[in-house]
Amino acid sequence: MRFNFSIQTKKLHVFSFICRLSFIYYECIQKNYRHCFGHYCHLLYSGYMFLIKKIFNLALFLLLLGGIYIGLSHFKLIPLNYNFFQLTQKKEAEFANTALVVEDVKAVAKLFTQQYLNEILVTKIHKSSSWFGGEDKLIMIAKGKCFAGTNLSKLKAEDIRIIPDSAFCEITIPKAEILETIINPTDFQIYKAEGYWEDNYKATQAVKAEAVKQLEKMAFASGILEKANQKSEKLMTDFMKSIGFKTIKVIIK
Amino acid sequence: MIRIIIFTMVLFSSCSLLPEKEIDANKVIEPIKAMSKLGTTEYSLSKVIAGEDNQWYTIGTRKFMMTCKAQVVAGIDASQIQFTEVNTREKKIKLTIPPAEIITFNIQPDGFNFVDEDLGSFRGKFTTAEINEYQVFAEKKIKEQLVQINILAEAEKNAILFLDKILRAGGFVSVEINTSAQKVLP
Repeated sequence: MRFNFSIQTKKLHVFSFICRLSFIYYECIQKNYRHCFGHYCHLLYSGYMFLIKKIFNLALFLLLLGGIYIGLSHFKLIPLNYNFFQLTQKKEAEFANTALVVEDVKAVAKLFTQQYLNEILVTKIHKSSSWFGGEDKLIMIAKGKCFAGTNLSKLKAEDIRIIPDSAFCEITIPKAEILETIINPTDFQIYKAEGYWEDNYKATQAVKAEAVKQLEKMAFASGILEKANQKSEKLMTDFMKSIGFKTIKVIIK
Repeated sequence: MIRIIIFTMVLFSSCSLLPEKEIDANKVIEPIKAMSKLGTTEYSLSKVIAGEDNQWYTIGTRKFMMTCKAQVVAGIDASQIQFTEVNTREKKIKLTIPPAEIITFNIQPDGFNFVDEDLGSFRGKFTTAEINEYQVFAEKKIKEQLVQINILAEAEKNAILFLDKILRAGGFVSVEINTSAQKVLP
């Protein structure tokens, strides 16, 4: 309100200044007092310069106060309820409330025995279509997990052989396999997506799918399946021991 | 002098606006880790994500709609099964299984399908970074809504069924499986 008032006042003063200047000029011409004109102008000019200086000082003072307030609130020395930079920050998209749909429910028996964790640096280059040529880069870090284990759903009743009245048990379990390789959206960090990659969602999606395959290959190369087999064998042996068997033979087929 | 002070303070304040992308350099990844989880239930889930992007500095809005598919495996920690009574003579067994838990949550990159986009005349296409943000939102939303479906109860029920089947195949006639009262939420 005060600010508006000072602007209006300033406008009024400028208008008045022009009117008076015109009047003085007219009077001077009429009376041939040309030499007086310069004197009057100087007086008026110095007066208005004083006013402008005052306004400038006030603005500077307000800016200083604002700076102190923002600085103190930044270091949390005073409570801040309103973010001054709210307007400069990008507002998040508004999402509609939608239901979560259960498409399928399956009973499984997957024994997860090993997990492989790693981070992959994914770099893709595409020839730029701009006039200047060059390359468009896509750089992201993918952090994922690969799970290996035994799918016990394949286990049949005849795979468990027991010799009656003895503590011997023979169990045949399937070979370990990669059960799941997971890189969820939160596990991707995009650092650079320029030119071709900037708004090409499908191409980026294909690169992400490649990253999942790459992680699976890395897990495979690290010998995850052998370790998963060993662990599954140990788990089954321990389980059978816990239920009273003394001699247990686990066959991996 | 005053101008320098103001400029410095404004600069300090605006520093917090820069996006923070931190990499924990001290973090050490152990590539292979042993585990012993028995996944007993697999859920296939889907969700529609519909949103609108409207900024104060833009003319017109952008709308989008995409579908997201997720797979969730829940089960129990096999190493936590407690055998309370084992009688091999009478072929009786009693055990307590640990509370069910979410073992894996998986959204494959091709699990997203961008169904439709409605771009205002003065608006550009959705960028890769923006779509990634929406996918992250979808993941968070699905995880939040997981508690609304009885996935853990289903996992517990299937674990009991599976163990009962194995133990009966192992020659036990009387099998009693109890569940731990404690529930582990995702």
